[in-house]
Amino acid sequence: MNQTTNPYLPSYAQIIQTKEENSTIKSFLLELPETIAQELIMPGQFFQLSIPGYGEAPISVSEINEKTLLFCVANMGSFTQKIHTLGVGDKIGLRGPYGNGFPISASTNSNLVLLAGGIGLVPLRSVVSYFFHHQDNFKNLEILYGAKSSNDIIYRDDIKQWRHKSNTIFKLTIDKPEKDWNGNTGFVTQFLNPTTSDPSEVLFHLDKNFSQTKIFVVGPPMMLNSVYQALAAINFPAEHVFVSLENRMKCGIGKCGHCNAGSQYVCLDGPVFSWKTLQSMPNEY
Amino acid sequence: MHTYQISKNQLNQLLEPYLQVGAHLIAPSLNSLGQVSYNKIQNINEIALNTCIPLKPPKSYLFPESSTLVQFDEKNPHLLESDASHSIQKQMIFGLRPCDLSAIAYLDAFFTSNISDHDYAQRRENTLIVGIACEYPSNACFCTSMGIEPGNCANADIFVVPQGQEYLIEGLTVKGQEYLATLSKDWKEISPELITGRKNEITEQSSSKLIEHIDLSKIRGRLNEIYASDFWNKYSEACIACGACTFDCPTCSCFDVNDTLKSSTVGCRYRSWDSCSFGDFTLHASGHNPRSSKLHRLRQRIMHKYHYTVEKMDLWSCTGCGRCIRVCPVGINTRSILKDAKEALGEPNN
Repeated sequence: MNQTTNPYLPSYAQIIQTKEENSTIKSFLLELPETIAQELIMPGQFFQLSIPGYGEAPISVSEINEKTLLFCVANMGSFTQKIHTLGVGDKIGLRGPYGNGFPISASTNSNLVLLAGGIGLVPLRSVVSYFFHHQDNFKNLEILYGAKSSNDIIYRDDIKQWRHKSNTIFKLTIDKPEKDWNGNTGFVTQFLNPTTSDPSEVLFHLDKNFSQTKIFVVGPPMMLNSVYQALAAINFPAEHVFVSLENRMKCGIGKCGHCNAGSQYVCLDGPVFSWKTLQSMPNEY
Repeated sequence: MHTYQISKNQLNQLLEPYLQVGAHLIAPSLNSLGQVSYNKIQNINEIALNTCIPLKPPKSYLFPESSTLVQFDEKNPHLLESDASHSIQKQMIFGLRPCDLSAIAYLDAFFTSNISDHDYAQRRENTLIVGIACEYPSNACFCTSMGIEPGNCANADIFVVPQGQEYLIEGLTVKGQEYLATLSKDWKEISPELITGRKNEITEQSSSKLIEHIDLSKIRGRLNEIYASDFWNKYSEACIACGACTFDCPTCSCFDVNDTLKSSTVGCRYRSWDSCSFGDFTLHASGHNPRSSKLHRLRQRIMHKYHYTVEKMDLWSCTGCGRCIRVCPVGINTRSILKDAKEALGEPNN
């Protein structure tokens, strides 16, 4: 057994910009520490963000730039509440990147369909930004986003831009429409229904036999079950669907046991699993 | 490889260097409650070998109940100073039976695979493991069911085999052989065949003392077939989710990570043992809990030991030490679970 470096020791990154995405989600643009190699970070991976004395939490990277990383943190507990109090100039601990990320290089020359439920858009945003930086490597991008209500919608400024990008389709629906809402209502899985799809859709018009399309899914467990049903109904191939899981984690390096589901450790073997792999795993996520 | 024969009163020659300042000697001895447990000892006369394995496993000497992962620096609160390695001392753990030696081999494989766990690796690096053949199985023991021989185990640096008023000793690893070479001793060298013969004899005698041997060969890799079976209910209904079976298990290694502050700027991030039996072990921040019931959690513990680590590492993460049976306050017997699992899989118990 060789001497190893301490994997629990974080690097420190300065916050260079913050933004309230909605009432519970705040984004933090961090200066990339020299200790972390930008070229090794892939969309769908996560970092353990930390504050001394307050703890750590696994947070997906939302955007990977040459000198910065974007993270969006939902205020869900005492640690994330503390993160929300930080501002420009403050420092955040981070270690990573961890996990496998989305199969980006195996998806070149494909259409990408991103299915996001709620804050599931946070990890998928890293794929969106990767797509726009490497658009020549892919065919089309379709972003399907379901939020609870219009107040819960995140990345509003980004969405405005996405709507005008070439080879890009963006669709939004909300579960609980307000009186003045005139967009789509209902669950995001409605976009997987061929009978209600519109002529612009990647899934049913641009790739009718699904051979050149990859679907990346992130959302709450309830949503995943209805996504599986909807995809089974259209016979979409399970090996072309990739789901990012959000199991509880403590260490991020496959040791603490919290994220274990079947023989897989979500932090190490995932967080992204093909639907085909998930079919052979116990539904413990 | 050198093998030796010594009289039992020469054992101090093997252990004494670890009684010196700066090194620890851990061995089974009587604690203040009159029970045998693995303790740091000061005197070789404290060692108690003529009983079954201690109820507490030796894992806490490699993976403590609580240990510091990183410390916060006082002068610069935003920079975490390095680790706890300064507090890791050289130690010998003496008197481990083949079940506990196999457990350490499992922990080695688990903690050092993929991203190596620095704290564990450092403690392990500084530890000399001295095993002993097991002549005293308890009523709860079932090591042979897990493929372990009571009289023999290769997962030690040095292995000691009792023979009447003597010990036969062999150095198994480079580390063990090097240590033996440093001792100033007038030990009698013997041929390796003598030690092999005695190991086989102990294996045979101790195996015959075990209450039962469960042949698990036909169900290895098949427990997923009964994942959804009803038979878990029988045990999960009795389980009180106290986690004692996981804390006393020599291979259970789950932990929680928390921060603590001594002042506004000084503190540490530490880990402490956790248990998959606990209700909040898998609780998501959203409130969703994938293993919300005791059935889910008892099944996880059994599936993990007898199926998931077999799939992932080609290893059982059970050594048949029987501590879970001895410690369970409601009498859940892991051997019964295994026998029921065999039956549910259509394999007869005989």
